[in-house]
Amino acid sequence: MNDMTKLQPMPWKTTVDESKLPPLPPIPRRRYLDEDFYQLELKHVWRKVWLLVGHETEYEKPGSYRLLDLDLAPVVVVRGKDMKIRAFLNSCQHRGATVLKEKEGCAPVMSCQYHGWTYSLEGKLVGVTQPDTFPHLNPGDYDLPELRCEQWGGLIFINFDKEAQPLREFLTKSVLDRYSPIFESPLRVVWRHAWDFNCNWKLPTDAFREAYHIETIHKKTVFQMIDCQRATTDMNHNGHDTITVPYWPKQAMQEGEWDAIPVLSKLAPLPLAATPEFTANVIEPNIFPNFSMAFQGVGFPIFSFWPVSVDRSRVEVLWLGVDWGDAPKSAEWETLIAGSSIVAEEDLGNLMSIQKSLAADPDKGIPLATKEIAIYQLHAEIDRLIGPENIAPELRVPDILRDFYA
Amino acid sequence: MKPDEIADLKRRFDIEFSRSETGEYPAAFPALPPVPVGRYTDPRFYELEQQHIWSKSWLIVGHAGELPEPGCWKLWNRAGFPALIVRGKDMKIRAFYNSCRHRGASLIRGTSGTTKVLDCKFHGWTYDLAGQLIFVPAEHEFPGLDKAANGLVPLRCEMWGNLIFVNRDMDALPLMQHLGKAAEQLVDFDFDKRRICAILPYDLPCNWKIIMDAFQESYHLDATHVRSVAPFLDYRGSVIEMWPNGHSALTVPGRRELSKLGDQFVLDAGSKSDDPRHELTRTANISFTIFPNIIGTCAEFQFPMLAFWPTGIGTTHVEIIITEPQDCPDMDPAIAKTTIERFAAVMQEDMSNVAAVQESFDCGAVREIQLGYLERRIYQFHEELERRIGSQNIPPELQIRPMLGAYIEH
Ligand code: FES
Ligand code: FES
Ligand SMILES: [Fe+2]
Ligand SMILES: [Fe+2]
Repeated sequence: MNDMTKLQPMPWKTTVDESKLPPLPPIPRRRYLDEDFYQLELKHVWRKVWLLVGHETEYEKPGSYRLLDLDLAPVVVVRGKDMKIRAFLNSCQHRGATVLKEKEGCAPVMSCQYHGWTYSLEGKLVGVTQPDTFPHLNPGDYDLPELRCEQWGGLIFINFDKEAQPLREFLTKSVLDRYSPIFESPLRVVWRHAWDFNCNWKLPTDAFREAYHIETIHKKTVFQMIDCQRATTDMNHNGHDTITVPYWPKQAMQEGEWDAIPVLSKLAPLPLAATPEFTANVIEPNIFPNFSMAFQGVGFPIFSFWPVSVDRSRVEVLWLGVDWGDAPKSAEWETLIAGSSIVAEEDLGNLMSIQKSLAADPDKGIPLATKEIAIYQLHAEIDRLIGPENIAPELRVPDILRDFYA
Repeated sequence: MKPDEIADLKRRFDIEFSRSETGEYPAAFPALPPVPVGRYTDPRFYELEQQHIWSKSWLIVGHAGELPEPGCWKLWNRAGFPALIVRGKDMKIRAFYNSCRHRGASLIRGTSGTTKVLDCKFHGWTYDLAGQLIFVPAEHEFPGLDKAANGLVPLRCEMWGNLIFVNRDMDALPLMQHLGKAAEQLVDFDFDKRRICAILPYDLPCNWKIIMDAFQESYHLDATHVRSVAPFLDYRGSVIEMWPNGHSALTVPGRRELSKLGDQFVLDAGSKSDDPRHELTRTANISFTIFPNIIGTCAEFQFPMLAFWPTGIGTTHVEIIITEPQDCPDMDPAIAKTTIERFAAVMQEDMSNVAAVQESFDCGAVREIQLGYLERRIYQFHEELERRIGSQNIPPELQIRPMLGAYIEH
């Protein structure tokens, strides 16, 4: 299986000419530890860019909503009577209690449980308890603050910045061209789950931005299926990239040992599944700042990463598959998800000990291999958004990859 | 309460009810300008409160019953300074900084106890129960030491009935003068003859004023306390009395279809009293605010007083002090337990909003607070903060304008 001479040529050409790459300076550990740097990230990254929050099939009918429990602000995403999905601050404009309390559900209106002010599904203040005691309430002044909310196919994104560029511009033409056929097709949420970790949000994010660890961490699982030695990275503007990892030749795949190999599944294939790129590789796009996915045959998990505090983060997984319409949900999903959870645990199991060891010797740097270039790209993009002049010199990550972005 | 006071409150219920039926804002009452949220979240304002409120106000530190005999002491440190409260040989309760005059070691360690003298464990300087320095080991090493001038540094310590208050400000108004009209109005609740029967502690993730606000208005009764309180009280008839120095009271009448609030609601469970002075605690709910940080709900027998202590700009420790008359026959423990549980359940409803409110304030979702007529006590509270801190010391964007002067009942 490790005999390189038998391998087929790669069908997908990477856009990065690795021989031309400059050496990557180490990443300062304090970027994962420093409260001031974390606050800069919240202000210039998390409050400025588009953040994936879910898929439209989770919002079945008017009034379907989900609360996002973020460190940034309390947010509710809700489908209106007009079927449009909107995002609001979950924050009553009277004295700030929440207008919805359950994590998810379906509500005819949003009604504050403190004094009962009521908002329509479109965020308009429609009911004030004892309006006679508020002489000067101008209609319109106390509607729920709305956030930008746009979609890429079925994926829902929010943005705290009113002035942000449109979502599609942020995603870049190359990302849209490459993956829109998948997201614009009928998909469905198969599974959703979240874990909290005592580590900075960039640690789980990093783990999805390189294939270098596959041979060690995923030796018994993913490594049976794909050949990480031949993984390539191509980078786009705005911090997005794709990691492409070729499957082993068919005969080398150890069928049976790890029985959750989606490519062998009988479920309906994703759009693009039959293209040479997808038949030969697991395709792993990382969309800045906070999500990564691994397309494989019939479905894929989207991992999204959220800051909770400087040394705490949340990882959410949203498994999407081809919509199975009215047919019953296939039992095969269970197997796929169980297999994928094992992999996720392999990835995430390390994180807390990493945070601790970074903190133990905070002035060191993290050296990166060429194969880990997408981690460098993530950090460089964070700095671009914060503005290097706002960052302490010893924490900066200089932008040296510009010329390699497609 | 005297018969004419009771009659007066009942008349005021009627006025509020009929006003609320017409749906008109009370004639001549000013619309309240919005309160800047920075007063809850800005570290500068928090610092001003530390300087001008917590260092200069009368703060409840305990109950005389905790120090029954000469030499009984307790330590108290909820407002940023360590206080030692001790009963002297003359039975008087005094308060001192718990700091030795020699080199500042803490004089007494622990939480409470009994002692004959106050002796410092560092080098052994010793003070009597009235704070006089009485013994200095190797006194000859301190030539010219004037023992009389080196007593413990006192704090103001005064009593409201059995309740002990301290104040760091040596120039503060005497406690009873500070309470003024409030103490007069509450005189029938016999603060000199009550004892503490339980203290329930809570720690909340919000600024101290967010949780206090929740207890200063009845506007939330129907939405927050749907099943627990709303079936008994009708907030539309609420009467608010605003007194000088930031104190106030809120009386919410019982639903008109009920002649008496009943055991399910009042803390006086099992009370068969028909003492005419206490008619309104049986047919309405009376609560009072003592500036800066006490809110109590009156009853003839058991009732709670809540004390709110900031532990940070966004965190608060709440002590619920449940009191009862000293001569109260011991309550059936089963009844006592269920009343306390019922009360704790209502508290839980009140507290369920506060974390979200703090978050809304922190993230800028709410930048100023629009208060309605029924929430005017919250505005009064802010006016008192403004007066104590001094508008000129407050950053302009955090200031409020006094609006309620004409409505204070002297
Ligand atoms: S805080 Fe929502 S109605 Fe008062
Ligand atoms: S500090 Fe108390 S005796 Fe020296
Ligand atoms: Fe992995
Ligand atoms: Fe309440």
